[in-house]
Amino acid sequence: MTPEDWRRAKSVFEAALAEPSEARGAFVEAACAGDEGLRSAVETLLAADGQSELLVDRVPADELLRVFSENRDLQWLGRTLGAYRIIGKLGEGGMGSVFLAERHDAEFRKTVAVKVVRFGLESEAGVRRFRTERQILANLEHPNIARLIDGGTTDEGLPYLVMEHVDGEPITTYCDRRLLKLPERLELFGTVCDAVQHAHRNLVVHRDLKAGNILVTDDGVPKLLDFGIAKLLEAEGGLAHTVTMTRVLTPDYASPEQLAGRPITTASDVYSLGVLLYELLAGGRPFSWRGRSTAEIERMLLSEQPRPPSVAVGGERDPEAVAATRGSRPEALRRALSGDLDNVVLRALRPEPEERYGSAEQLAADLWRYRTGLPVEARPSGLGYRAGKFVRRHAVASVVVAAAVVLLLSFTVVTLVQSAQIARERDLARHEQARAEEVTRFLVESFREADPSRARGATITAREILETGARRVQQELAGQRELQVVLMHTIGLVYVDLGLYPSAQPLLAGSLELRRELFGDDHPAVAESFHAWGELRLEQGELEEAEEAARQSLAIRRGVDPAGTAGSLHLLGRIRRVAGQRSESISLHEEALEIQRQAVGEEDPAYIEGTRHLATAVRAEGRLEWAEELNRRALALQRELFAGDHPITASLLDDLAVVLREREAFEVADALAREALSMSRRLFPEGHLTTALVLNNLAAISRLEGRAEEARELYLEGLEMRRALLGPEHPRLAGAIYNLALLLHRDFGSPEEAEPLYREAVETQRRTLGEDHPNMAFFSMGLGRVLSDLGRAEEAEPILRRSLESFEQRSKGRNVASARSALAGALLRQRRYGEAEQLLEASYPVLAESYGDDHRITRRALDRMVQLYRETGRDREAARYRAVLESPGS
Amino acid sequence: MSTSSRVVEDLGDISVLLSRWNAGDEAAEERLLQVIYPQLRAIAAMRLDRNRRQITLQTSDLVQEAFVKLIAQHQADWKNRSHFFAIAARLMRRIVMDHARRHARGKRGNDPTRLSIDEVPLAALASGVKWLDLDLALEELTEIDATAGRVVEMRFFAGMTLEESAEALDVSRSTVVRNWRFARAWLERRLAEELPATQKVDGRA
Repeated sequence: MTPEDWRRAKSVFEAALAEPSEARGAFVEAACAGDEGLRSAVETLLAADGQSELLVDRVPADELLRVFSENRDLQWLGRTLGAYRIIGKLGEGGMGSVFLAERHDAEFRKTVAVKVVRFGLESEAGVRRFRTERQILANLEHPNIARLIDGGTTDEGLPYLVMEHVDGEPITTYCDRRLLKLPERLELFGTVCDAVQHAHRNLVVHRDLKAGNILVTDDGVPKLLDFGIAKLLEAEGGLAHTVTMTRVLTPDYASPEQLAGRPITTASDVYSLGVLLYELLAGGRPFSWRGRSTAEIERMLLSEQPRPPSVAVGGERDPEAVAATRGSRPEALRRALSGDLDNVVLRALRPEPEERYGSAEQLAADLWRYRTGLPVEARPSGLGYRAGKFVRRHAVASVVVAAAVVLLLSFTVVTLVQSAQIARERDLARHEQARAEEVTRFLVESFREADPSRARGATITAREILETGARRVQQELAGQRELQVVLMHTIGLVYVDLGLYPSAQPLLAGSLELRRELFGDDHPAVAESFHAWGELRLEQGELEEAEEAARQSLAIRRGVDPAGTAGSLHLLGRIRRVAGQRSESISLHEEALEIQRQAVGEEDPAYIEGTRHLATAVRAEGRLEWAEELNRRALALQRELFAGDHPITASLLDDLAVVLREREAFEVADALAREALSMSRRLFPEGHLTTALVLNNLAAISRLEGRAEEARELYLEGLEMRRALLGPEHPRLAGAIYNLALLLHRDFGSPEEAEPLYREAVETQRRTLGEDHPNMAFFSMGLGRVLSDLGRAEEAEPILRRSLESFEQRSKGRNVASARSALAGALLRQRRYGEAEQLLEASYPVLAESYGDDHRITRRALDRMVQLYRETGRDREAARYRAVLESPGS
Repeated sequence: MSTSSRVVEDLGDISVLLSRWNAGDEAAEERLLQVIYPQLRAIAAMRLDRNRRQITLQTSDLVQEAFVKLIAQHQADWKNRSHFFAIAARLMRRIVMDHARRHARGKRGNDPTRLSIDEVPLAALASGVKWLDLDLALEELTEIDATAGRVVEMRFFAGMTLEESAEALDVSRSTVVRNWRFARAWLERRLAEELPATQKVDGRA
């Protein structure tokens, strides 16, 4: 048959298929019209069509795949990977096979587990990240975490991990088989929390906590397996793996954010611990996912509350049996669970990460409180609840008060947890409990004392609470120095946040001294104190002392604490930037950033924060293109981490707007600043420092674009917001007041209105940061200029001289030049031409060089030169400078 | 900087290659196979481990995943999806046929420990099938009706569903069904030599 014949056969065949089967014979006969070859071919085809399992119904590639897979594990036995020889198979994991192996060169036989991951690391970056992550995990040493011993890649490029081999059974099976009662289960669970917390402190999130990953040995020691392995494998990255990762994860223990593919944090592990606790207590899982789709599960996790464990006892299983494995009866078990334990479990299982316990530590602490008979945090009548109510009652200063309360509370919890850890040593337990109660009482009494009648309502301020606290710490805790030092440090930090630097000073200095006495010179707590002291001194403009403190903290942290080291380096970088040593500042931030990249990776808030520091330093150096690139990068990373509105995203948008403003891309800068503003307003309807900062930037952009009226409104709104949020004594106020003064002075031509504002800026600055702070030079230059414009040149002159001196000490080229030009202006008004000429001749070239002849600062210097030379009768010089002024586009 | 510009080049590369291949460019086919083959192989290895308890292994899932990965790596467009499936089907055909040819020559891969799909023991493919004849018959079928030939590549070699095949060929599902039923019956009976061979037509018909 020809191809043409076949095509006819095909169309007859297809047409026949449309006929009912009993009519096909007749149809084909008619359609073939006597062509016997054709008819026979079509009949043959129709007969074959009716049969099943034809040659092409199997997919040969599937068979290849199947045989391929069956043959693979056999090939692994006896292979050596690094120093290990594979001797057996332990199991099958989501991402590969786990083998039993032994060191082939060891004198003593030690078996390990080797996990071979069944996909290659495809990119250079993937290999690098795998190595970094592996290093972090290898450093994770804890008696209850199975150690990562070694790792590498096989000849064919598959990554493998050598881990401590744990011979045990899943924690749930262990508890059930030994009929452990609730207290014993809680104790075992507490140990698991400690291990998780240890990893969290080292910036490692487990991501796949489940009973099968927590084995208990015959000696009753729980061991957590596969810590951070999920991340390690994901590090290789790419959409495909993220997609498959989600499929691999067992949804039973996964948090809502994990299932939704949102960023995973320590709170995700808290959720998984909650599921585990649920299971240990009630013998079932909070939800049953069998047969449900991922989308359904996701929706249910967000919209449905799990049944409290006391209600769920037994779940789908027999309640009698469940209670029996806990040495109890169903009714008794339900009673034991209802109340505190229900609350603790449900709090760990909240859909929103921020509503759960902040850490495994806090979860453990609350269980410890339960076990020792203290009220649990998860209960509505806990201290957190009371403090929350307090904040709600005193809504006015609430932002500030909330900051104080949260800080103080978090330290309560830290102290409690330190207690919880030591509590295992029985004889210490009572002492520690007393201490925890002491802290709680201390805080509650500080609130009460600050508001003795509890009737003043909104008039109580954070300051009053803190002052009361600070006083009592010194007086009443003298005998409990460890507690005293923690609270001094904390209250000191809150003072720094409030901008009350003079109050912060004795507390931070005192806690630093005490810690050195208590812990010796190279303790992490001492590094923390040095760091806090450095921050404070930097804010106060005491750069030498700040630098010394930053160096001390760096010396302690270097080599032992990467995150801390990066923090100290960033602090040092900021100090250098303020000191005008910009290139040193940049290299310090770069070094810190590289450490952060290795320690936590790029998709991490700390790394983003670090990038911001670097961008600021780079922008100060005037390398705007680079600064823009960094800002964009930080913003992109941030958006990867947090989709939608987020305070940091708003700040990053604003940062980018600032750099674009400096690059004079006003339109884009304007749009970005407005986006930042509306995001910030959505996030904080009642005002926030972020919003105030954005308002300031947007005002500056409006001013540069010539919309002075809009700029005035924005500055005013920002200033009011700062006053409301920060109180009257905050150094951040001075800058905002100065900006408004400058606008009124220069753009509205109203020195009369500007003068009191300049004065207020100077006075606020003097009160909060003192005379010697670098910013003072700017503010007093503004005041001097306005006085000079108001015709009070004699009054202006000493102010401008001090400002110039201050700039000269810090040797900043264009600022010195501006100050010289301003002083020359005051001198000109007094007809003191000689000194004015010297100042202007020194000033103008620098201004022209750094701002260009077009800039208003340069033009004012030129104006003054024209005036000087005209009034001293040197017309030729006057004409020359006038020509510069008038030349178009100069 | 250099990384991102390379991605852009690749993106151009892949998209252009796919359209050129779709327009019948043989050189483009070779190049595409070189790009996609390693990827398919890696994914196959990975998926196998996950699906080992399933009775059927899904070649079509493998192709799907290769495409997702391609998108992730090269920022390719979903518009390239149908072309991609078509070329992947062609690729699976070649993998199977290469294997069958080596089988026919009785050769094994060099390194018994190497884990790649083309080192599978040779007995893996059903020995009753005359693979080389099947390949020739498929050529013959393609000569008769190109669409039917490509449907076989997709359904038989790549394990794609009717819907996936319809999308890749940009035809209706019922067109795929009709062509598949014809091709399936025709190949079966042609290999059993119950249907006559196709005469070569010289010149234009």
